[in-house]
Amino acid sequence: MTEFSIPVRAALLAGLLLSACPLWALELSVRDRASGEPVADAVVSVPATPGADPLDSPATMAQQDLAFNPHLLVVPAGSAVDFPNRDNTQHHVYSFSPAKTFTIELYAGQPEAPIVFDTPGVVEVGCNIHDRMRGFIYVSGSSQTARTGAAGIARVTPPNTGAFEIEVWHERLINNAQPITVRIEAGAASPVIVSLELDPADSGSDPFSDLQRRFDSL
Amino acid sequence: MTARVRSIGFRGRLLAAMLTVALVTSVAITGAFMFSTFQEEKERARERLAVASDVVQEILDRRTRLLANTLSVLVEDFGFKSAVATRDPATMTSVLVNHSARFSAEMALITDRSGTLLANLQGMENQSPLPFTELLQEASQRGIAAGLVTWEAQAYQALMVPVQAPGVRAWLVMGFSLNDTIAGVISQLAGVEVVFQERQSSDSVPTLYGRSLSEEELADITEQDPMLATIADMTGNRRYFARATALSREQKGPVRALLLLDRQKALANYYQLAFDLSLLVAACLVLAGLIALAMARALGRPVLQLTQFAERIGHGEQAQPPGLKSRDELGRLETVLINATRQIRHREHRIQHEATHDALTGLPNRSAMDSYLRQVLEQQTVGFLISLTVIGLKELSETLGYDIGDQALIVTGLRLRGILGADNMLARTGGNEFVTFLPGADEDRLQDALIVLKARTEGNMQIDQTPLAVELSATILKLPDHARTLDDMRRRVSLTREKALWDETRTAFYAEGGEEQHLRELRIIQDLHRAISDQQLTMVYQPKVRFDTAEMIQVEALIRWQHPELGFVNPDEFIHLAERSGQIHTLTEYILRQVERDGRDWRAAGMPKIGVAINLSALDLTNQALPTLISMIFADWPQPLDMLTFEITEGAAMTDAQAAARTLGNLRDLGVKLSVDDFGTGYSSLSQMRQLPVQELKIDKSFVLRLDSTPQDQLIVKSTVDMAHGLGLSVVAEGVENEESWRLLQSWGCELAQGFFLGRPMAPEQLAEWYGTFGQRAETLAIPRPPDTIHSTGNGGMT
Repeated sequence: MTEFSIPVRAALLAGLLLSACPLWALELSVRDRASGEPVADAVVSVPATPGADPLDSPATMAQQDLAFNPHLLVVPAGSAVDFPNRDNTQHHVYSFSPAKTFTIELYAGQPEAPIVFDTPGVVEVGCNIHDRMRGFIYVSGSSQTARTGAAGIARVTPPNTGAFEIEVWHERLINNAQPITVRIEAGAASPVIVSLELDPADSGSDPFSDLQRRFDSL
Repeated sequence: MTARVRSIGFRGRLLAAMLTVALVTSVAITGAFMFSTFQEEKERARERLAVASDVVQEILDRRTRLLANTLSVLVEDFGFKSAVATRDPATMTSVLVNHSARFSAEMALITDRSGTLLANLQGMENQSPLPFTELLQEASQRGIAAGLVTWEAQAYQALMVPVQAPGVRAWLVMGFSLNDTIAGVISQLAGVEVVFQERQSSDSVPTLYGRSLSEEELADITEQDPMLATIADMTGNRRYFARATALSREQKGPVRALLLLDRQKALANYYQLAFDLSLLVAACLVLAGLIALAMARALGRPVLQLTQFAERIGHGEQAQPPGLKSRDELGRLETVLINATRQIRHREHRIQHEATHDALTGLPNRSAMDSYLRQVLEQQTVGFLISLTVIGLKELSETLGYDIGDQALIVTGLRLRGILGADNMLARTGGNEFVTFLPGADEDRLQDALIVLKARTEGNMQIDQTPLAVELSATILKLPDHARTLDDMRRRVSLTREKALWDETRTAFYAEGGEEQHLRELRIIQDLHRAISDQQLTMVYQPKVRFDTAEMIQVEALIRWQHPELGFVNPDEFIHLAERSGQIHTLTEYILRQVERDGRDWRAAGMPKIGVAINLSALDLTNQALPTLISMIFADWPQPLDMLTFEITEGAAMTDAQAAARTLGNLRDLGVKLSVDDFGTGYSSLSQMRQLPVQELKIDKSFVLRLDSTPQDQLIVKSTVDMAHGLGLSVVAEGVENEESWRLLQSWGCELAQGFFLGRPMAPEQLAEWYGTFGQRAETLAIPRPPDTIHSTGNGGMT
């Protein structure tokens, strides 16, 4: 399905250029299937492409105002990530995600060492003493990995001219532990619209009270 | 005695009435009250069950809430999350054991996001899908789920919550079992018995989970009430009030709490109240009874007194009225009773007098005499019963008027009364009969008494200036020798009365055995009927022979009766009795039929035509239907009807001369012949004889039997023959015993002879034989020369 849209304002491109500027880039427009709204902060990658090199220096996922900053971090596999604590409270950062299970016991300031994420996959990080703190680190094993902006647009370069698969992830996917795979037919006109089935946007309340609310509904 | 019974009856009725009123009232009120109370108690039970139902819901809700709170903490517990994150079943299982112990939850399991079991405490197989699909479905949709689940005969209140740690996606299910403990707790709180059960469909046997009842109680109920499972509300007639509460979210869910309220307990108050009320009612009844008794006594005493008074009156005793003080109805009743008593006595007196006394003479009547004589018989009193008959009273009344007759009776009664005095019973027992009884066995004294009685009673009396005298005949029975019963007495007096009438002294004693003849007559009268039907009666025939030719041209039909016990009964005797007892018509018809049959037999046997003479009695002559009967019986007779002769006595023809003349005329019209029988014994005059349509005279045998030796008889017979011939009648002489008599009568021109000299009466079948033998004698008896004149005998059929 092809859709022509004339951008009214400049699209903010937050994509990572992991290779030489492609001659033709496929534009993907990620939408919420339910509302049709564009979806920001979705990660699109082409698994068929080889992985990108790890980052030279550790990326940062700070804890600031009882939240992870940035909320979503996309890094190539093998990259290291620092988790500096900029709050005046201690944090206990951890993840049980299969891609990377780690825990940094209560600390303040800079942890002893950055954590290296060498397995591609979605790593969800949290804090053991602040249940509402959630962050995501997308460990990418593909050089063609892009992140949608506010307009829900991401560009990737297809590996060839035939049909190929892409992986799309967003934290509000029903199962956000892993991306979903979308097949792109050959000669698909740009932009290709990818519709995702998403959980309703988080109200921002903490999951505990959320659970309470659910209980109350019992 | 009866008085007491009746008084009790009256009091009893009063008591019963009051008690009934009290009972009905109290029962009605109590009933209504108890009914509404009962309804109220039932309502209360219903409310209790409703409350209990709420309590159950509340308790289970609270448990769910508690569980939710607990679990919400648990799923955020880092240690727990770490353990889940390990994905190591052993670790997870130990965590479940640990935490379920903390909350004393009976169920705990962990599944992954899609519901595949990772660890559990229920002995389910890990890596298999969660068996609680509905729960899983709901949890997937809503992020959390609570519900009732069942696993291996246990029901659990389960909660399914997500375990959402960074990098962890799993479900935790924990639950409390609906076991006996919780049922007991709820039972304690709500005050009802609780049974948790599940039914998949309305006709399946429910699965039972926890319950507050013991095994026996439960078995008891389910046995009593196999529909226990279907109860959805209060039920009336079982041991328990019951109510089912759905525990699943959907009201029709399979798991329910069955709440049972023991009716006995629920209605305990009611029963207590009923008992108390019953006591109260009983007390009221006793009180009412006592009041009723008191009233019954107050009312009953005068009533009882009056009753006894009335009863004594009823028994004809002299009774003192109770003399009630009250002026109420009872007092009035007493007055009425006293007055009624007087009137009753008065009337009774009069009735009794009338019943036992003769209205005309004022003397005791027959019934009074009978009861007196009954006593005499009972006490075997020795004495003489004297029946005095006023002779010729009927004639006296007819000549001088019945008033005079009555007066004569009154005077006679008074005189007898005066002579006999007050000590001797005297009664007027019939129109002209007085009876008295004189005690004592001395016959000489009796004779004296009789002479005095007759002499002084028969003296002249003056009635309405008419001087007249009555004559008494006396019949005497000696008691107790001559009679054992009243019946004997009457019969024997009546038997002897005739004798007294003909007696010179106008008195007769009953002679022992004097009633044998009477009994014999009774017997004959009784047996005659059967004799006719049983063929005990036979016919014999005596020939009648012409004097001139000595030919037998006629026979006289005579009836014979050989009684099985009395032997030969004289026809004169039983025919007379048949007349008296009204059987003569039957007898006559019988004779007629026999004669008709025998006549036909003779003709069939080849005999010449023979005339038959039949005797008719006086009563036959008054029977208007006789001619019709004769013509009917002899309709097919092979001989003309002028071969029938009917013999009638003079007396019979004279008894009811008009009726007899009519019947005789009708008989003549039939063509039969008529003959006067026993001529010379009656009192009839020849002038009367002339009126009768007869063709023949039969001279009575008393004149003929000794005709040869009695010149007087010869004179009478000869003149009678002449006279009869003068009147144009032929003559039959009966009782011809010898040839001399035969010759005499023959010479006088008598037409027919009948007698032993010629032939005795014989059976019909012997007649032919006799006829043959007599034929040989006939020649010697006939008139040797041809007769100058033969009076026609009407035997035209002779050859």
